[in-house]
Amino acid sequence: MPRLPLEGIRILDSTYVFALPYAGGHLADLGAEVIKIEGPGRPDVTRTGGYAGSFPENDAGEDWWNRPSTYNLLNRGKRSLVLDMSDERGRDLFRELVMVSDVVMENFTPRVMRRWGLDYPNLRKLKPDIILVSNTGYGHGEGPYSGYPAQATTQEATHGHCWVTGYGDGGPAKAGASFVDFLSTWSAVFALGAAFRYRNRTGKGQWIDIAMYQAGVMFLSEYLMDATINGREGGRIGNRHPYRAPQGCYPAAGSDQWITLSVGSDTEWKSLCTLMGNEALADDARFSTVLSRQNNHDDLDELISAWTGTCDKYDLMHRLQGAGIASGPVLTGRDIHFDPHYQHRGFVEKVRFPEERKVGDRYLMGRPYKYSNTPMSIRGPGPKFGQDNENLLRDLLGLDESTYQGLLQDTIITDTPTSGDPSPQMEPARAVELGLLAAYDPDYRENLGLL
Amino acid sequence: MLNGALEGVKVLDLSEDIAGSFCARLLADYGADVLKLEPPGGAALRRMGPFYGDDPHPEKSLFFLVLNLNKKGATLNLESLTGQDILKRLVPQVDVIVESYRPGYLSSLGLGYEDLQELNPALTVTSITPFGQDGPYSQYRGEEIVNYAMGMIMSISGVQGREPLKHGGFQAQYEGGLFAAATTSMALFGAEFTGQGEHIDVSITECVASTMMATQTMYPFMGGTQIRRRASGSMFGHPMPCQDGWIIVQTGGGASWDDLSEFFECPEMLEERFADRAQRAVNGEELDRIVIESISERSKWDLFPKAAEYRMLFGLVQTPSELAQCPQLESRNFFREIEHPVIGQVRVPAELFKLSESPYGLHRSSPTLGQHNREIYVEGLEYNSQEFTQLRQMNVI
Repeated sequence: MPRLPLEGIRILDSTYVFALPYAGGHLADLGAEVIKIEGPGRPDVTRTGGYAGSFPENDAGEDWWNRPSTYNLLNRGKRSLVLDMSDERGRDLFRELVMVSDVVMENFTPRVMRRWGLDYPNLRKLKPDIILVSNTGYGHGEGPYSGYPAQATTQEATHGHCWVTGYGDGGPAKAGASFVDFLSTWSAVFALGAAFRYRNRTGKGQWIDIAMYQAGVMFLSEYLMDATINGREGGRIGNRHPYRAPQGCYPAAGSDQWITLSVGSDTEWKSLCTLMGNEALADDARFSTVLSRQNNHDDLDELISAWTGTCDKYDLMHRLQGAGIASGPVLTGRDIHFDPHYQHRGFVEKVRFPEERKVGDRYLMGRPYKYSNTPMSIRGPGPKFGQDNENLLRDLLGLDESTYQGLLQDTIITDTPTSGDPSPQMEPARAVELGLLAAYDPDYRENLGLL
Repeated sequence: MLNGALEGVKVLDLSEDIAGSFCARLLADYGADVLKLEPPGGAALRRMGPFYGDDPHPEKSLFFLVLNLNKKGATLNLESLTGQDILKRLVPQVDVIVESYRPGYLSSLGLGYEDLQELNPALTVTSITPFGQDGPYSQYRGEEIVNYAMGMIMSISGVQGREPLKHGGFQAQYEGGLFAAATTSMALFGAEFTGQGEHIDVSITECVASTMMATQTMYPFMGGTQIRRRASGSMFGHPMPCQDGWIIVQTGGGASWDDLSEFFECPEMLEERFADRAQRAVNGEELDRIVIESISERSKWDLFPKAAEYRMLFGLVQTPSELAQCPQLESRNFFREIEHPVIGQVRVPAELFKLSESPYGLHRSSPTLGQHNREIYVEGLEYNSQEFTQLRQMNVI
């Protein structure tokens, strides 16, 4: 087996929700030993099945906190330690772990780690070359919003994303998912790679201070340049493109099926007319140049929709791409499991849960990248709550049996959350009826070969 | 003592697009020595707006400017044999090549990863493409909207009853750039121990897809397919208009439903018909109406700090010029000033995140076309001035 880049690296991952937990999952793929640390009364919110997470067969089961889909995706390949950090004994154990670790990751609001005496200056006293990764909504420091609560789904508005997203004829719109979280995920991976190399060369650690808000704004750099230099406010153009036309998302045959296409030149426009079986259109002055196509885009959309509406979305993609036109169907969460390209790439991986967890095999997304010389895979599902308590505290830190039992007794450590409830799950058919789900396929396990 | 975390890393940036340029800029931002090699006619990104003063001049693309900060620049025609030869002379001196050409293009020039790693086994080549290096769609054309569509996110963006909606701007391309920088920095660290580089294959569509954690996992866990939000009545699913703009609220965080009712000054929210998620779904349109009415005379700038007192998950829709004046970004030193040779002094979005010991630095503006040709070819590769003139006349540089 080739050596994984992070072999021998130990990471204390005291992070919650999406952004850094997912970074930890990717670091585990890269070979790190990632120890997820949660409080006895503070299981990660993804363990509840909230935020659109799903339970196997929609059944929370007895140990609901180990079963949700998003929890297991984000925290794949980690170990689990449950430790009450609000208690001094918990913090002391954390400090001992810091001394034998390379990285601490946390996403508490800025005051928390300071209050616990676990901020960078203090961690550094315990381990001079420690690398601390902090992710917050607005970043540490003295800024006016630093203490504000934040989550991706509302930050999309604040960091400008909603201003530029939306139908051309409507108000600002949200992104489909927790978009900005993942900018922190990958900022953390990027920063850590650089910090590891730096530590290797200089012997020095580092504090990595990531703000989701700031990352989100960075992704609108060209709008900021246009605003500061040309005084322009940008805005919403729906699915259209500033320079290409036509571009859009058009209905395909079937219920809620869609095809996107984008025409980048007059030659491509002529090819599209041929495909549509309407060569006369190529000579129509309303559409002969990119400028006239931009100006008459509504008419174009109507003509294109009339053509696409009766054709299969995949068939459309292959024909359009065959004619040199950028195009692709809108793929759903179901579609990608059966798409030949995704299958060829091995994008979703079959992950086997240990027998006792009664989850069986499930498909989870791997990585959006490949290394040619170092194949990687998901090393296992998310860990059971507290599954490695004993190994980490008894074997790694060398606690004696009576101290360990004392901690259990005082619920400084545990393997059962002391608070929290599974997020209520709706009957799938009812959810479809209420417009909360697009579809429900009762034969999914059979179709995926998971039985 | 190193200045940047990646100091000493040498990068050739062959990319002409957003994703590759952003990737290489991030490496440069944190200390790598990046040389952008453009075709003699200039990278495609130079032809993309916005432009300084709306003048579509290759030195005035603000998009090119902002994504190529901290790099040096030279021109090189990779389609000429001499150009290919020059690239091969540069390869033993570098650690990373960033490229975003169609899969197979560089190989067809004898410049693929297999060819180049023979000259330098520690070389990492980071390839960023719409669909990845292999698979049935690898030769297909990508565009931003196609990446969104095939990356699942459009299936849940926009509203029911209308067409799926792409995100504004070029978010997928930026994602490709950031994710690629991350995988590159990890490969560089790995190479510290193995002396072996990697060909990194980044698919922009998969970058988008990888963020769809609830959407992807729902099907194999319970057979469901996620959907776009309803146009109204989605329990705060959309930005809501207030007196001077839009705000958005999400349930959860540190605020209870009672807190929200108090914040909105909306006692009706406590009525039985809004008591739980199912009822709010059924009576969602009525809920929207009540809440939107309650904020019609209130300012987003007053609501924002008040929401923070309630520990609510709250956002206000900011415009680009509001972001440019944001005191929080100011406090984080996010914007920096730099002198561009053609445009003059500009203020640019600069620092992605803070590193305490090897901080971000803005050291140079984006290069003008061929700005460092002499430095690279005459001083570096020791072409004499007659040869240098010939390279230019032969359209190699």
